[in-house]
Amino acid sequence: MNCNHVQRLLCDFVDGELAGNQMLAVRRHLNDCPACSAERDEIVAVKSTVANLFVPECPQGLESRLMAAIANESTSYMPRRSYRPVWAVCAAAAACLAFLAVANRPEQKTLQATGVVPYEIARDQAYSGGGDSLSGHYPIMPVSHGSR
Amino acid sequence: MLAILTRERTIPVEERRALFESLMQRSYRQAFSLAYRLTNNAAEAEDLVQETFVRAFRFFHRYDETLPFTNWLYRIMSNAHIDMVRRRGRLKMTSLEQPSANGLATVEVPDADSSPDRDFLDNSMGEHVQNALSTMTPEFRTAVLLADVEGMAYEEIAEVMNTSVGTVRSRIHRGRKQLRKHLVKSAPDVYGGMNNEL
Repeated sequence: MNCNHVQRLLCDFVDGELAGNQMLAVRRHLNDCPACSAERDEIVAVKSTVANLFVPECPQGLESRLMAAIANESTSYMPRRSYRPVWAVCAAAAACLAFLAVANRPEQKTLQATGVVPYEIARDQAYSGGGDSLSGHYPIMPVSHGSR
Repeated sequence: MLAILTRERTIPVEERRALFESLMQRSYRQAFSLAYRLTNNAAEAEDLVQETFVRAFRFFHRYDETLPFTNWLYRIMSNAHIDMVRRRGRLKMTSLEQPSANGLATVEVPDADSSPDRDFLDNSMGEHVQNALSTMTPEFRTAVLLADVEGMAYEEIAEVMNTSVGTVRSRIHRGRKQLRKHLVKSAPDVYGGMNNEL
């Protein structure tokens, strides 16, 4: 392991994030390399200063202010189930609208097919392909994407 | 799944609130401590703690009781802090665009020296580090603080910050590098010996 490689791993090493083999290799290198060892000491110094940063005591009355904030939030809190009728009403209204839209759909022009329709095809999915010269019937043809 | 859904609906509001309050009583000091380190200001730290607990209460039904409450809380605090910093940034921009009555644009800048807790600050390394932390982006600051102060593993930090372990590693490495650069620059007499080339 060379110095570049070790220095890339130093933060992980200091934070105890290296796996066993890597950790031992870095430790061996640090024993022999004063430059990398000094680097490690600097990271440790910064880390311990951050860890020991001064923090003032909690402000007086913080606990009661937090309790009051939660009490306030609690009164405005709506349990989930109270939303359910709203959703149910919305869903029912949407279903009614969809039904009315389908029921009141303007009647489409019925195809004038004189022959026997072999299977049922939705009206908007088919068109009359014109008279068949052999049978004299008007066969119902499915609409392809190209002809739409 | 059904059990979870029905449980969520059947816990009475009062019981839910009592459980939340007991967790809050146990964790608010620790939460304030992290909030202070994030904001470097007691009043802002209190605002952040309050915002965090209110959000936590609002989404308490999503909390998984098998996991530590503080980890879940820190996740909320991390997001709330990022929102707070961005909001403040926007407010400053607004005040620049809208000049005051005398026609001069003014920017509200908190006076760090007037803060009452300033007297207690260690005037040497701690202050430099706290100032250096203040110059970092909230994402970098949170990652460094969770690793160094809370002693969390990179994987836990990744969970709290909702990102990958690789991103956390990079934020911590780069964050520490920024800290050292700032220290060498702001107090060369004390930290001049530090290798600034890394």
